[in-house]
Amino acid sequence: MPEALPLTIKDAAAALRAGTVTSAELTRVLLDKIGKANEALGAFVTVTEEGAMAAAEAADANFAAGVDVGPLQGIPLAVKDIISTKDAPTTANSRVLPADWGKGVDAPVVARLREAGSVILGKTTTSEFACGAPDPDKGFLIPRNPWNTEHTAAGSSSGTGVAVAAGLAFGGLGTDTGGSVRGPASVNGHTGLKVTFGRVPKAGVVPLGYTLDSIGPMARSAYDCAVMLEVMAGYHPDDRFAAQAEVPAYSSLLTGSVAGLKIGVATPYFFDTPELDDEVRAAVLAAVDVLKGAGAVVSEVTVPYAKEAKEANHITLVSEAYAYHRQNLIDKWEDYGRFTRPTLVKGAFFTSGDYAQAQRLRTVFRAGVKEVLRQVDVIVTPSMVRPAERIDELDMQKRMLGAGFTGQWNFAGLPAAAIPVGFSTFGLPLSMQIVGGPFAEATVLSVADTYQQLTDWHLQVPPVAELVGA
Amino acid sequence: MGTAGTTSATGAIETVRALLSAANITVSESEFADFVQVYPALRAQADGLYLPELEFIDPAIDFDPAA
Repeated sequence: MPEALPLTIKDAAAALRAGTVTSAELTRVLLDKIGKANEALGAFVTVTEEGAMAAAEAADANFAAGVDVGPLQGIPLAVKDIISTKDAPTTANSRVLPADWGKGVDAPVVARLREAGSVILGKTTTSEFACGAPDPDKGFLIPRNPWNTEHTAAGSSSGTGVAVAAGLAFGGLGTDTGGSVRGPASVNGHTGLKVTFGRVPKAGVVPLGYTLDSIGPMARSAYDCAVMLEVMAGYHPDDRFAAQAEVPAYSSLLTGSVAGLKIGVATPYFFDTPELDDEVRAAVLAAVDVLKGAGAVVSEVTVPYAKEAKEANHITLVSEAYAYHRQNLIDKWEDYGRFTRPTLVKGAFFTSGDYAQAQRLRTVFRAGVKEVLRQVDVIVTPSMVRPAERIDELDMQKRMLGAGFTGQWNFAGLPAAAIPVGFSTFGLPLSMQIVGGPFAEATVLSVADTYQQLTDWHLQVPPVAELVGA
Repeated sequence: MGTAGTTSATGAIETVRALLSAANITVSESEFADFVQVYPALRAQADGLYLPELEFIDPAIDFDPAA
């Protein structure tokens, strides 16, 4: 067992194959860290210790027998608690969801991770039903930012974000309907990928926005996300939206070069909104300069209808979510968290005409973005308007009504990665978003990977040694 | 095609009350007040989508990201 744990899936996979550590040792250390830190960080809802150790020992036995099913073999991962698993309840961090939801069956994406030999450590905290903000009165732990526990871990894949950043898991699953993979990746300081709609089957996930939801990998590096996505992606008959598109070997497509690659900096709206924090803008533009220095061809582009698309995504999201929650909102209003129910009921404030009109805007927005992506290979924006807010200053209305940079890509169905590009004056992570064309995850991840080969922001570790007992 | 309208304070109270009633949802007074406050902005967001240039555009109901 090495003195310092590997930081990434890539390094852990190498250490497992070099025999310098076993999966059982890695898993035991992470379980111990979770045990020490979870009360303070609120990363996990349920820890599946027994199953995790059994999976780790099975992975080690396979290594000993010369069986190697791929780079996730023996790697401890976390699963957002709106994704069903066979060995733990799915709560969606809610007192409303029936206790037997998911019926103890692995969602296809979880089954794929297990088949690839990974070790599922447990279920991670989500904003209730993947929307809203934590309500301390509902009895769930409040996820906290490991860089400063007075600040939010963002949502809704908060727990996976915290777990990856704090070194409680090497990677994990999040879901993203308006930014729920990229937000936590941004504020917790690691990499997160929202995939093309339909790229990863979403059967076995509590729905939020039927035409927006996606499951994405969250890990320290773009390489680690690529390794996870290779396993996660691919058609499944249980998801009517699952794409039949071929799954590339993403990790082998990370070229380490952006020479000649065309990057569009989406200046209007994404960089000139008055709400954008100056440090975020400066860090993202500095990151663009790094890519330019590596040979990328950078130009400014205009994403048409950016503001309207963000708002139309919101209308679509709450309308679709309301359809799912309507009866429970009538019957169990008080059982929903205080920040969840006002979000969900907004679906009743829009008309069916508004919903249809949002889908008409979707047609022209997608066409407009497609035109931009004829000119450039990827579009770059800040991931978030500002660094993580203080938990006691979180204002859901402000967030809903203000500028936002992530929902547009759910609306368009396109892949988008959030990667760390620096820190604020107060030591909070800053993040850049890289957006690609449909099923262009390899291009998005390759740009992110190239940047991460030139920088080490993604390898920075938050000051949680005391909390995790390291 | 219409343009974005405005909702008066009184109009917002009546509209939110009617919408919640139609949805059969009972909320606290403070929640009701919050909804009344935010409703005009929500309505403006929706109204803002009724753009003249969308007149001949079909909705992307059958969603295909690669299309």
